[in-house]
Amino acid sequence: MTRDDKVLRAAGDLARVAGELERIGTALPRRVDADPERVEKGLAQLVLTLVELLRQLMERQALRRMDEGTLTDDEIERLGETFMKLEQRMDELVKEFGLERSDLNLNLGPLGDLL
Amino acid sequence: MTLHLYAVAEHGVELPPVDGIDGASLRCVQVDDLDAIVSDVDGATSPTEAAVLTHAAVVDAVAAAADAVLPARFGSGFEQEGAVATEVGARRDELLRALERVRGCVELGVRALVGDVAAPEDTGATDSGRTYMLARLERVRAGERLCADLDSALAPVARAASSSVVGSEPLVVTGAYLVPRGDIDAFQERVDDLHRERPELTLICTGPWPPYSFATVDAARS
Repeated sequence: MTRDDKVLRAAGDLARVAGELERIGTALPRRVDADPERVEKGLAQLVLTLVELLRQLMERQALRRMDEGTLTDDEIERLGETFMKLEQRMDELVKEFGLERSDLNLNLGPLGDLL
Repeated sequence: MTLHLYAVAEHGVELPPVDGIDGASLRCVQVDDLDAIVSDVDGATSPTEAAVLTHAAVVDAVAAAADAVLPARFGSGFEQEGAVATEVGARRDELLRALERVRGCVELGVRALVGDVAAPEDTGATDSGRTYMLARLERVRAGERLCADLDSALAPVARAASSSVVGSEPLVVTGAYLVPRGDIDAFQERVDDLHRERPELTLICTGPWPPYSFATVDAARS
């Protein structure tokens, strides 16, 4: 059996899927880097991952409330602005520590990915 | 010595002529009317690429030879045969039900990717919090719609289905479908039909796989 023969059908822009799969390929060794030389980066990765988790959870909660119609226009505006700024700031921090957006994740074993 | 678990099947399952992790031979640990397929490993197995591929190859081979097999996820191993027997025995009823569910079926995977979410996507250029929130909401809904579209097109030929959003930029949805062996072609025709209807989707259909998404061998330990 070759690994290729598992693809039964493939249609559309396959180059994009290949890009996706490359990201999956990095999932296996993806852990917090505890190398003493790069401990700062590893720690930043962990902290930023947790902050991003909280940001996404709050955003989802806000979206749900917006969807249910329990937020006023004013609240939607202020929440949206806050999440937008938090996201921009997160992008800056990620860059500052030499990380990528895709580094902000943790493999929780049988539970799957954190984000 | 640790035992690495590959799969659970009905007692009397035929062991395929392949080696386990690190070249160890496969063997069965019988628990009532079930067989746990294991091999001996030194200490805890670490999920190296070679070990994971060996695990998958063993599960593939076992599934090819038996009508109903529950693949185990790559786990941290059991200390001794007694631990395997306890773990499997405690979930005997659940495992037997799961074996019935997957009997005669394979898993087919579908990955659908869509380029542009039809929405004001340029969150970087907008200053309005409201626009940002609406764009986010639309992205969540687009994912839910794609999951629903995939399921309504493919689930009718499957015994069980599960789909979920795995990425939002670009939007990627994966679905797993439990399909009777005889219906694999019919399922692929449905995938073709879906692509004809929705040419903007990039669709990949893979398989047949052992029913990884529909087995519960390593369900949450209580």
